[in-house]
Amino acid sequence: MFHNRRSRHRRQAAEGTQPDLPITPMLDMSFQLMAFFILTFRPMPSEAQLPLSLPKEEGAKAATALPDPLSPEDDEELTVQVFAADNGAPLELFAAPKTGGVSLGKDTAALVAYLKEKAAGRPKAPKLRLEIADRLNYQYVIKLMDEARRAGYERVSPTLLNKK
Amino acid sequence: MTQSNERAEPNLTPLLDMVLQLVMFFMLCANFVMEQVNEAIVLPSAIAAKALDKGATDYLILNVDPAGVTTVGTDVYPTPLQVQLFLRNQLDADKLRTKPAHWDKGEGRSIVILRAHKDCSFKTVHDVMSACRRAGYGDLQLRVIKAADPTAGG
Repeated sequence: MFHNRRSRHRRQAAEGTQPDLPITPMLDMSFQLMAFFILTFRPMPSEAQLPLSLPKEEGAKAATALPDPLSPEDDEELTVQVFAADNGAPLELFAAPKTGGVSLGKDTAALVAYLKEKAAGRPKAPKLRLEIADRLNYQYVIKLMDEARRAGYERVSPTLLNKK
Repeated sequence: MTQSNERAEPNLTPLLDMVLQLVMFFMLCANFVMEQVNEAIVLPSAIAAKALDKGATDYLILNVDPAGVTTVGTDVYPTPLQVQLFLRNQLDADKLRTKPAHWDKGEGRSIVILRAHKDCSFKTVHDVMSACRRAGYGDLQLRVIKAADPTAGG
C-alpha cells in the first residue's frame, strides 16, 4: 500500500518535469567541426593512370602491356623518333627511321593518321617504340602516349633517343 | 487581456541535423592519402588514361619536380641513385612481409606511382623510371589528370 502511493507520487513528479537536452553546445561543436572541414577541404582532381611495364634488363624494350604468350615473338615493331628543341618543345616526329623514314612534322595529328594507317587491317596494333629526345617536355611525351593509345596502340615503349 | 507565459524558442534540432550531415560529408570527402601527394606537382593530362585502382593498398608515390628532385612523403631524394636505394629498401621490406610462395608468383610488391611535373624533361622522368627498374620494380603507373575527350558527344 505504502509502496503504491510512493511510486504514484514519483510518476506524477516525473510527468511534471520535461527532459531538456542542451542542443546549443552540440550545435556549437558541430559548427566548429564543419568550419574545420570546410577550411581543410581540397577537392581531389580527377587523377588517372597510364600503366607502364618496365623491362627487366638494361637495354630491353619496355611495353605498356605484358607480352601475350600466344602472340608471335617476331611481332612487328613500329619506331617513331621524336626530336626536341632546346626549350623542350617538339621539333619533328620521324617515323620508321630504319626503312627510309617518314617525316610527320611536329603535329600529332599526322602521327595519329600514320599510326592508324599502319594498324589498319590488323587484328592487333603493332608495338610502338617512341625514341624520345632527352629534352622533350614530359607533357608532350604523355600526349604522344595518349594519342598512340587512342589510335589503338596498347603497347607503347618510351625510350631515350640515342644521340649518334 | 490574457498574457501567455510560454516562451518562444527556435527549434534547433533540424539545424543540428543538417550541420551533422554536412560534417559527415566533409569527413567522408577528406582525402587522407593526400599526405603522400605533393600538391606543387602539376600533372600532365591525358584522354586515354585509365581510372585509378581503388583496391590497391600498398603503393609508393614518387613526386618528381621539374628540377628532377624526387620526394616520397616528406623524404627528399635529389638524385635517381638515392631513389633507387630507397626503392631497393622498400622492395626488401615488401619481400619480408610477403610469403615466399606469393613473392615468387610476383605478388606482394608495392605499386610504384610516378607523379612527375608536366614541365619535367623526358630525361628526368626516364632516370627515375630507370631507378625503379634497377631497384626491381617492373610495373609502375604514370599519374596524369584525366582530360575530357573533345570528340565525345554530350
